[in-house]
Amino acid sequence: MKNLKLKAARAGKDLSQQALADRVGVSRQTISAIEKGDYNPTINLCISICKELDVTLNDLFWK
Amino acid sequence: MFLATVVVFVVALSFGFLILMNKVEGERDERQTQVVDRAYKYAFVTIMFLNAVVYFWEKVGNIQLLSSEDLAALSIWLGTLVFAPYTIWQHAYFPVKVKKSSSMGWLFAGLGLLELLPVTWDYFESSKVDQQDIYLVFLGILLLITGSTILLRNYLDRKEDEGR
Repeated sequence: MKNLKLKAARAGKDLSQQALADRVGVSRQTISAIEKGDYNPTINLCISICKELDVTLNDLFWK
Repeated sequence: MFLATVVVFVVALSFGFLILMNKVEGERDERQTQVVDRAYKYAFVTIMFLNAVVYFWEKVGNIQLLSSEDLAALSIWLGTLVFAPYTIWQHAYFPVKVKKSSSMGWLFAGLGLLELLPVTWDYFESSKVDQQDIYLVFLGILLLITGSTILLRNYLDRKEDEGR
């Protein structure tokens, strides 16, 4: 399932996929895969992404 | 034959450089690690399947299809042919911090063609292919496919980036 919340949160911070990927230490394709719903990140990566976007896990990864 | 030897030497150096580059530039991320693990699994299953087919074919037909050296070489070739393009296509072949460029693709594709052209030339000249030429053909095919996959992947990524 697509993660539109992540895409919206990233856009809200005016970050490209590459920029966010660089900050959390993954490849751009990994961020893209998460947003498309093709990959389920580990909890550590979820936390790293939330820290960078100043949001909570509930905001991005829970229904 | 000398040209082929030089090409093989250059290929070996390229692989050595790639391995060194991978060690220096860092690790893969978690998604890439998953993809690589999956690729190893697919390559392993492919190798086992090949060996099973050869084994049963030889058992049923009561013939020796391949020598043990040829079977080992073919297994490695097929495993690499499964592993490399799959990981390249899934953006998992190169670690995160390695800057991808098309030069690697051109290098592999070019080397592949360099391997295949002399054999093709020999075949059209003498309608004969030596045992060693067959190894060159397999190596050439592997390099060509790997190089082409890198180039195609980079091209599609550029198109995707432009479309954003």
